Amino acid sequence: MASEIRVNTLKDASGNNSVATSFVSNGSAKLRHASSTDGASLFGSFNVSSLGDTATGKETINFTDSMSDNSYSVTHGNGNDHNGSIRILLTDTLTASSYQVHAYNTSSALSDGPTCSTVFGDLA
Amino acid sequence: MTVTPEFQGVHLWDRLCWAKENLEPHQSDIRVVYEDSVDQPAKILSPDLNWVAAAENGGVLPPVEVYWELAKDEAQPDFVKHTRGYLLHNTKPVGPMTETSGPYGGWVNYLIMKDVPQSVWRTWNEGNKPKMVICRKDQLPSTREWRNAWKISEDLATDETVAA
Repeated sequence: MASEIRVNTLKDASGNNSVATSFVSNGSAKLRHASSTDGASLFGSFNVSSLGDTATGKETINFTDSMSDNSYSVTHGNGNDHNGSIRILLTDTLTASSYQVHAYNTSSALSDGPTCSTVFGDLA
Repeated sequence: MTVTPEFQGVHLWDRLCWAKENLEPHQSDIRVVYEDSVDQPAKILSPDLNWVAAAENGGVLPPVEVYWELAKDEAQPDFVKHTRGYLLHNTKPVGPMTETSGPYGGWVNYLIMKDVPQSVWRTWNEGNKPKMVICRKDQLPSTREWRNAWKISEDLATDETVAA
């Protein structure tokens, strides 16, 4: 590393509102991904090794740095499908090294379209 | 090529932060198509653009065997939480790879051994047709029509792994 600051606690200029650096790192997103409408290309990411186009409306996101277990939280960003329908995104098949995103349209059918997600939890 | 700091013993997360900050993302058109169940459509793996940059620069990613060890732990019935995550951070990182050269015969092979089920890549050519094919993005169907019926062609011989 070119440089680093080692502190345990951060405070504001008046010495108040302290927060532990572990609180900051533990609360940071551990992964983010954004994929395109074809379901087979990533265009923005962090801590992702690959994207799996698993089936219509189903993607698998593989971690580079694994999570400690499968109890992490995934939040999703929504996108319209090819027909302009608003979609519902669900997380499925969580493991410490990957998870699936399932996207449904308003007819409750699996549907392709852009998706993005972020992960919060503990790294391995 | 950017000179990678000595990263053995540095948390993989911190290495990825360094790579994101210092390496130019590389969008690859390589795709790995595989079938792991006769009842499901073919799956398609796309490498991540930042991951490819880290793989090609070298010194960032752990050996793929580390992921296998963690997968073994997770497969145990009494698995609760990883206790050997240090393997990701303390094992000497792998050197630079191109698509088809360097450690593991290139980062395509590394990625297959990391993210494709072992049951597929260890026996990809045992059968009447390959269970796995490496191709370019433009060799995939151009539309998503009948996506759930996509299968690897019956016409491919098991020695034609690279269609590009």
